[in-house]
Amino acid sequence: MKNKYFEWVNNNLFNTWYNTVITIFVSFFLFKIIKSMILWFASVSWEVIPRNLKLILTGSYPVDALWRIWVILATAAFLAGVSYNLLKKGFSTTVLILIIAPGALALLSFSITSRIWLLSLSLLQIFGYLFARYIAGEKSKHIILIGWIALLPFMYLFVGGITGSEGFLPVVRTNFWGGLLLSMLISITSIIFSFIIGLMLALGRRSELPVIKYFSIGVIEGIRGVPLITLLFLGYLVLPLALPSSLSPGVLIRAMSGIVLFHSAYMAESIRGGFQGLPKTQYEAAYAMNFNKFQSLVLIILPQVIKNIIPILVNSLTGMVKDTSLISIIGLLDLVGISTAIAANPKFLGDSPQVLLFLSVIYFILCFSISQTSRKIEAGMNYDNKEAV
Amino acid sequence: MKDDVIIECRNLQKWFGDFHVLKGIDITINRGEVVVILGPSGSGKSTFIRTLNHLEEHQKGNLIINGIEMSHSIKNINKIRSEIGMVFQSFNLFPHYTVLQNITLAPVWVKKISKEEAHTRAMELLERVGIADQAQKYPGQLSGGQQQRVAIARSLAMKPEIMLFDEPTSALDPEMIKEVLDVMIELAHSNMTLLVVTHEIGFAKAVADRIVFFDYGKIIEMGTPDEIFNNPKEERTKLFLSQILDG
Repeated sequence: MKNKYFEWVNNNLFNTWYNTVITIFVSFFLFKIIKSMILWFASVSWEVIPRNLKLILTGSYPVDALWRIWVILATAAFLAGVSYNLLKKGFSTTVLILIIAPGALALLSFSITSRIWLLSLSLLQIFGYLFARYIAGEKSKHIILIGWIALLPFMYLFVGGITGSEGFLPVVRTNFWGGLLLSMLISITSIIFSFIIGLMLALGRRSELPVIKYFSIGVIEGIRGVPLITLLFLGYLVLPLALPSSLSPGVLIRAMSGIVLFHSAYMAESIRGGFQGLPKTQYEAAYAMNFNKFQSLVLIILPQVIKNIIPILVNSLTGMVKDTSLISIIGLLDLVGISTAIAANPKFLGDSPQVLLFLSVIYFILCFSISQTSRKIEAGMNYDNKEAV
Repeated sequence: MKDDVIIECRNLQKWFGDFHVLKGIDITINRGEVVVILGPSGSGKSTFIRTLNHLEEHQKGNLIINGIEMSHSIKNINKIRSEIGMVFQSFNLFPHYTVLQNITLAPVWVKKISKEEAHTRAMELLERVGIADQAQKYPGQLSGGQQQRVAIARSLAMKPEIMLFDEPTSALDPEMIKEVLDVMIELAHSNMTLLVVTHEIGFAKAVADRIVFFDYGKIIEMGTPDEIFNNPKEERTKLFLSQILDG
């Protein structure tokens, strides 16, 4: 074994005199860079992360209402567990990490309530899986479908509260939402709505009715030609002027409408590309079988279009998640907004690199999980090589 | 029997932009008749059978199928389409559904019959075309001949009165042509109305009640296989037949 490595190094790094020179130079610089990174890592105080963890994760969300977020996470964990039952090839590494990670985090020095909740996230995933496997059976597909669709409205109701200022779920105004909680809410909402609006715009652009067609083209081209920041400010400043004050939406909705509009236009073009990539003969087959337009679209065309555009979708989705950070510009305290706020706190002067690094890790985990999930879905949709069920 | 007309075309005309593809087609087809349409490529034969289920729209003339006039009315188009099955050159199966789902999809969603019933019927049809063992596979895993047989079963599942075949064997490897033709011959003997655009002279000779020869967007000549193959009257027909019979 040792000989093999030695040979590889010899053949690839030191085979000519100039390669030897390059290898030595590069190693020298790599050593320098890595050394200084490690030194920096070891020398700075990381106290800022645990001290502000609650702020980074939920912003100034009231502490006595935090259990609601845990309940949402627990519901999601259960649904995820039920969904694992759909995986044909058993648990992949990703799934195992998802199951183990919360439980492992519970070993860290959090408060006892947090630890119990974290542990329950692990257990609920396992419970969900077992429940789907041995109790619900075929019905679990309905649970998954309805559950995931209902989760978003449930999140808004639960996070926002419904019962005024007293009672079981007192209202928490949106300016108390922040951190990862806010970023996630905005990301998920933007993804769902921009996909729906994008799909409608794409269909509109392909419509035979000139009014709908040119309206869609106008919207798509108009929005694509404007920077996202401009749209955000427009939503923030102009929407309240344009609407009567009684109808004027809160800052959060104004910000989100900008993001949703912007990404709908891009999404529309991605989806349209997918439509154009599909052979015309699929439509003909559908019409010849007497499917109506709606059935053809939903049963035959759309599943194939989505399969074809998954790589582009991942691009858009990850872009969207990261673009939500722009809302900090109009004063919302999402992940980036919170980190700016922390950096401004004199107690943590000069600690903002640590916070930013931590944010990067969170964003990376979010985006990487999107791309991993999409790969799973893509593999599941590869019908030509699929095993007979 | 002779008077039981199922398809009636009067002066059917169609343009693609400036190009006059169908220059007035007049033909009457009876129930149960097997009609084979021959002609060089670009002669309008495929366009003709595609107008019959409104995949192409005619611009002039009348087309009456089973007593229903083909018009812009969606209701009429749907009624006519529900009586016509179509098999394409490139099979056009739905790649994201299994063979079985390909066949049950339309009966369940369009005809609203129960899943169980559709399933039973689909298995019968797969048995009939000889590939019941492939029911759970996806189209991409089948050979061309098998895919085309699934496509035939898929059309039959809607219980059509008329079947249209648009060059059903042109995209197949030679060794797979026979398995598809065998299914079509069996259909021809089952009293269904068939319109087949093809270059398979053997099939035409064996089962056709009538041969229609198309060229330049017109019917040049039609008659029984014997009349057309042994005694063609038109020069154009003679030339075409000599070309494909020699080739």
